[in-house]
Amino acid sequence: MLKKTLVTLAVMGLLLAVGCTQVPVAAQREEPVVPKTAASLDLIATATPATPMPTEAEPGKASFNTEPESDIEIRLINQTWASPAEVKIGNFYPGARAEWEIKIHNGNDIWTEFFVSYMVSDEKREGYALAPVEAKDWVIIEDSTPVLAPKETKKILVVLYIPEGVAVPDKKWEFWTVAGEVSARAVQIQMATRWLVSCR
Amino acid sequence: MKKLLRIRWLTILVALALALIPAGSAMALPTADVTITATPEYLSMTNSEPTWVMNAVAEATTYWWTVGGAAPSPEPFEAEDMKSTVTNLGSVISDVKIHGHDFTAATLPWALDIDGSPGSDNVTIKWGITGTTNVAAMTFLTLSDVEIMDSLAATDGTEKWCMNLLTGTFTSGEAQTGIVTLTIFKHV
Repeated sequence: MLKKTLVTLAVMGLLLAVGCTQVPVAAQREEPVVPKTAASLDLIATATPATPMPTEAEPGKASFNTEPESDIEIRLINQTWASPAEVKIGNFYPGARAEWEIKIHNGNDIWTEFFVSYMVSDEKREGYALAPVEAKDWVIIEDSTPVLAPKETKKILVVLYIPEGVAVPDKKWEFWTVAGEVSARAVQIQMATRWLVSCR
Repeated sequence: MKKLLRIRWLTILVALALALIPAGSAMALPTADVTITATPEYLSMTNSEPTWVMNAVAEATTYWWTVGGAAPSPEPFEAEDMKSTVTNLGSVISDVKIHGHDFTAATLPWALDIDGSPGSDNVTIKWGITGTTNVAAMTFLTLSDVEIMDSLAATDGTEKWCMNLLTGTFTSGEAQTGIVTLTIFKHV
C-alpha cells in the first residue's frame, strides 16, 4: 500500500515538473544559432582579464577561444573585426526583450582593450526612422569595455528592452552599436552593426 | 478497496490538472513572437597611416597630411598624393563615415572650427579623397559623421584620403592631441 502511494506521489511530482517547464518567451532566433546567455537588465560591466595582460603573445602558445568558425574567420584571423553587420528584430513591442551576441575579434598579437557602445547615426535604411532619444536607455551592452587576448574572439551580449507601456514614436527604427580598439592613434577605427527594429 | 482506488484516481487527475495549468498560460502568449535574424557578415577595415605627428606648429598656417606634406598637385587629387589607404577587409560592401573630436590638452585644448577661419585656440581640419576636385572642395571635419567613402568592395575594396590642418591663434604652447574616427558599416 505504502509502495503504491509513493509511486503515485512520484508520478505527481514528475507531471508537475513537466508542466512547470517554461515555454521560452524571449526572441526566437534563426540561423546561425548563437548560444544564449542569461542576463539581467543591468548588465553593464567592465571586463578584467583573468590573467595579467602580457605585452605580447607567448610564441607557440595559442590563446583561448581562438578557433575560427568559418572560412572568413580564418582569412581574418590577423585582422580586427566585428560581426554581424546587421541584426533585424521583428514583432517587437514595449515589454518585450530581444537579445543577440555580437562577435568581436582581436587581430593583434597583444592584449587589447575594446569599446562597444550604442550609437545613433543619421544613416538609416529606407522606411526606417532614426532611433528615438530614449532608445539609448533601452539598449544594454553586457560588457562595454572588453579586453581581448591576442587573436581572441569574444561574444558580447546586447539586449533591447523597452519597458511596458512606453510609447514608441515609430514602428520601424534603426540604431547602431559600434565596436573598436581603444588606442592612442590619431585615426581610430570603429565597426558599426546596424540594428533594424520593427514594432507591432 | 474501491474507495482507495477512487482516491488514487482523484490524485492522478489533480496532478494532471496542475500540470496543464502552465501549458495553458503558454498557449495564451502573443500569437507572433519577437524574432531576431542576422547573417554572419563581417566588418573589418584597415587604415594604412594611423598617425599624424606634427611637432611644433605656427599660428595661422596650413599643414598637410599628404605624401609630400604639401597640397596635392595636380588637381583633381591623385592617388599618389594621398597619405593613407583604407581597405575594406570585411565580407560585405561597406561605406565609411568620418568625424572629428575637439583636441585634448592639459589646460587649453583646441576646438574644431568648421568655417575655415579658426580663431583663438581653434583649428580647422579638412579631408579629401582621390578625385577631390581641388583644395577648396575638401570637406570640413566636424563632430558629426559625414560619409567619406561609399560602396567599398568586400574583401579588398580601397580608397585613399588625405587631410589638412589650419591653425588659428594660441593662448598656450602646450601639446595638443586630436582624434579622427572612421566608422565602417554595411552599405545598403
